[in-house]
Parts: sequence; structure tokens; C-alpha cells
Amino acid sequence: MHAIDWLVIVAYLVWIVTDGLRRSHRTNEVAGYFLAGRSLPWWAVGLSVMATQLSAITLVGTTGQAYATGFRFIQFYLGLPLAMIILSLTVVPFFHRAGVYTAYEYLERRFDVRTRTLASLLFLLGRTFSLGVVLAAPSVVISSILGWSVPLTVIIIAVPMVLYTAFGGVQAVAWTDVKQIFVIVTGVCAAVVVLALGIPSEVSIGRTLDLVGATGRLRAIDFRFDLRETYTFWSGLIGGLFLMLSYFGCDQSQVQRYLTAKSVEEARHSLLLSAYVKIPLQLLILATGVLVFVFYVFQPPPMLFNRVHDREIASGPRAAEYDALQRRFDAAFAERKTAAEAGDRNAFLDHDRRVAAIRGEAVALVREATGDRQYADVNYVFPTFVTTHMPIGLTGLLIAAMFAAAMSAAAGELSALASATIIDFYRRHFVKSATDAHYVNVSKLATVGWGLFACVVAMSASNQGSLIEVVNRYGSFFYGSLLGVFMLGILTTTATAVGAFYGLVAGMAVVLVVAFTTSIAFLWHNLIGAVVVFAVGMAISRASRPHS
Amino acid sequence: MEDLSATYVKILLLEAAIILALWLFGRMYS
Repeated sequence: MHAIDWLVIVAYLVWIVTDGLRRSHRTNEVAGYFLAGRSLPWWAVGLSVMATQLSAITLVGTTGQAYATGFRFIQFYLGLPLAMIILSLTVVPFFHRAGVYTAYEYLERRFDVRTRTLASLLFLLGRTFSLGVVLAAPSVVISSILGWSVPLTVIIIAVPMVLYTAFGGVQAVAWTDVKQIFVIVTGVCAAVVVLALGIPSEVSIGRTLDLVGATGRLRAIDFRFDLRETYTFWSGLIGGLFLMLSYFGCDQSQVQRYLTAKSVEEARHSLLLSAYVKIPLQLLILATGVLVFVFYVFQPPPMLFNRVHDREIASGPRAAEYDALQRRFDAAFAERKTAAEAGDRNAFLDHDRRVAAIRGEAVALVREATGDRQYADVNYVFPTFVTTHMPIGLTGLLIAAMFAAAMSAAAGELSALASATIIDFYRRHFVKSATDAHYVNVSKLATVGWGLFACVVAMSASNQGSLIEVVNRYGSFFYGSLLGVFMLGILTTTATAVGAFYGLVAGMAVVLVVAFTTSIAFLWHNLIGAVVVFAVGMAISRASRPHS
Repeated sequence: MEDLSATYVKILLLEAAIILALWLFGRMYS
């Protein structure tokens, strides 16, 4: 990379920390530290909500996924707008008026301390490991393209992020999120322009669409009802609705965001911003991945996008095998390019399948050689494009955007972990009446502590692909159950504390069994968890209620 | 509480339009 790109990255890191801290006020009070004194405008909260959800996994993984399969992943977000409408009508005014610091505080008011503690504990367990993955996944990719070690990359992402989160509280997180989302969107738009300019001028837009369409990448909506298929219209709309209701309604990393809004109305508008913008933004990111595919139809792509593995295998004991693959790959690419330029759809498809199959063989070779069974080369597609084809300065901007995505998602989770730890455990169970200064100081310690723990998880998760899979599965089974217990509290007046607690336990158990013994796609786990908790909770409440 | 019914309808219409456009686009070029 050019010195100017490094300068852009360093300038971004310095700016994000200093400006985050400069904008923090009243952080010596608990309300200022965790809720920004309920002072933020709706647009800042809305952009912060979106930034927290847009992690580097989204930026790097989604573009890679679109490169390989096209627009199908958009179906994951189909439930989001409806979820935002439901939440802006229900829990947003509810939490705001209740004056709570965490979503789980409400569960004690409605049920008992046991239910609150269990729900908050589930959040802490899930989010701690998820924070590790949010740091690990981009670190593995960024370390590979910049030639750094994984631990060093984790530290470079984590240290500035922990600094502004610990000292600036949720205000620093929200205001840096606002800047980070602009850095991300500007970077992605720049990439789209460069990609579009990279397509030969003699190839018309119509022919380009025809070629991409032939590969199935433009088939975004799948109306088949198949529970085993991960992304369909139905899994996205129904399963996704429950996931988004749970994520935005019961997850402290999101609830804390809209509790910082000036008023109930501002909080509602902040969520509705996502309802309008999230799907178009996600389409932009997916379109970037599809455009990278088109770009590499006409420009020679590397057989493996992870250049480190490419060099290792090309000079290792299986070099001859790899070299033979490379020659077959070069020939298949040349024939695919010729077919694309001639507009020969059938020949293009045949050669595209050959290119994909040879890449598959190369990836299998990496998996055998490195022992990393989870290795996914698609995650390196976009970063490799950025470092090899973006103009000077824009490469730095895009790498900064990857840092921004990693930091914004991680900072939101870190601040939420600290608030749940201090409000739901430390202040509730251990030190019940201390000064604000005391609670803010231990909150800073908790933030640094969780940050360190996340770094350790990130450094170990990066070597164990299976751990990442376990974490993802875990996230999908606890979300639905949490939603179920909030539904019991908000939608009914007859649910009891005993019903809520054992309903939550039953929901978790059922989803655990479903997740590990059936092939039902994970989006449906959210619906199953919510329904089981609600049904079991109501049944136990009815049975345990004293007869009059 | 402010009545946001018109905003909700606009959001749902926008989503329906995006889904329809994506579906038609996919059918047109596959």
C-alpha cells in the first residue's frame, strides 16, 4: 500500500478517538455515561443503531457472499422494516417511559429479580463471545491483506475502540458511530464507481445484466417454503421478523441506543430510519459484491483471494498440484472472458462453472494443507480487490471503512456489556447505594475488562473456525427465547414470575435441541424460541396461579 | 404519542416495491 493510504488510516484512527472523547459530556454521572443524559437527536441515534448492526463481518462477508451467490442474502433483512414499526409502537415508548438503564431492568419490575438476572446473564454470555467474533473475523482478513499478525490487528482495532468507549461512554460510541457510518458508505460508493469504470466500455449494461443473471446472482427473492433453506422470502419475513424484534427489542446493545434519544418521539424516529434505509444500504453492499464478480469476469482474478495462502501453497510441498490448478484456472478464465465479450450466454455459463469448480479445488487444497476446515476464501474477495485495484487514497479509505465497521459494531456491544454488568449485577446485587462517581469508575473498569476479555476470545477464535460457528448458533437460540419472555411481560397481564422464568428455560432448551438435532435453518430458531417461551410461560402461569 | 401511521404505510409500501422490483428483476435476467 502507498504511504498516502497509511496516512488516511492513521488519520482516521486518531480522528475517531479524539473526536469521540471531545463530544462526551456529563460522563461523570451514570445517566450521562450509559444514556448520554437522554440528549441525542433521532438521526444520530438512528445512524448509531445502523452502525452497531453493520459490522466488518457484514462489509467483508456480505460482499464476498454476493460475489459467490448474488443478491439472495437480502432476504435476511425482509422482516426488519415490520419489526421496526412494531417496536416503535410497543417497546420503544415502554422502555423510554419506564426510565430504565437496561432492557432487563424491566423484567424485574414485571416479574422478579431471578428472571431479570437470567435474561441479563444470557445477554452477557452471548454478547461476550459475539464481541470476540466481531473483533476476530475482520482481524483475520485485515491481518492477511496488510501482512500483520492477527493479535496485532486485534489490538489495533480494539485499543482505540476501548479507549473512546471507556472514557466517553455511550455518547462517544454514538457520535463515532455517526462518523463511521459515513466513512463506510463513502468507501462503498467509491468502490462501486471504481468497479463500474473497470467494466470494458464495449460491454453494454444490458449484456452485463444478462451475464450476471445467467449465473443466478440476480435472483434475490425465493418464494419457496423450505424450512431447510437458510434464505427464502418466508424465512426472512417471518423468522427474520422475530430475530429483528428480539435483536432491536431485547438486546441491550440496541436498546441502549434508543434510550439515549431526547424523547420517545425521537427514539421512535431513530428506529424508523433503519426501516427506511437498511434494505437499500444492504442492497448497495450486495451490489458491490456482484460488481466485483463482473469486474473479475473481464480482469484476471487471483485463483485464491487470500494472497498469504496463495504464496504458502505455491511454495509448499503441494506446489506442483497447485501450479497445475493455476494453469487450468487461467485457461478457464480466458475462455470465460472471451464468451462474455462475445455475449455467448451458454459458453459463458459453462466456463463460469469451470472457474468456480477450480476455485473450489484450490480452497479444498488450502483446507487440507492448513487444517482449517472453516476456511472461506470469499471473505478475502473484497479486501483483495480493494488493495489491488482501488486508486491511492481510496484504498486507505476502504481499509479505514473496514476498521470503522469493526469498531462501531464492537463499541456498541462493549458499552452494552458494561451497562448490563454494572446495572443488572454490580448495582443490583453487590453495591446497592454508592455515588455516581463510583459507578462510573467501575463502569470504566468493566468496559476495559470486557474489552480485554474480547481480545483474548478474538485471538483464540481466529485459530478455531468451529468456535465461530458455535457462537453464531448460540446467538440464534437465545434471541428468540429472550423475545418470548418480553412478550410475556408486555403482551399479557396474567403471566407470573414463575411462568416467565421456567418458560425462558424451556425455550432455551427446545431451541438448543432443535438447533443441534434438526436441519431447520437458524432464522426459524427465533420464532420457535419465542413461541415456546410464550406458550410454556402462559401454561405455567395458569397452573401456578393461586385459585380464588 | 405522535401518530406515525402515514410513515408506517410509506415504509411498508417502500418495502413491497423493493421486493417486487427485485423479484421482477431476477425473473427478467435469469
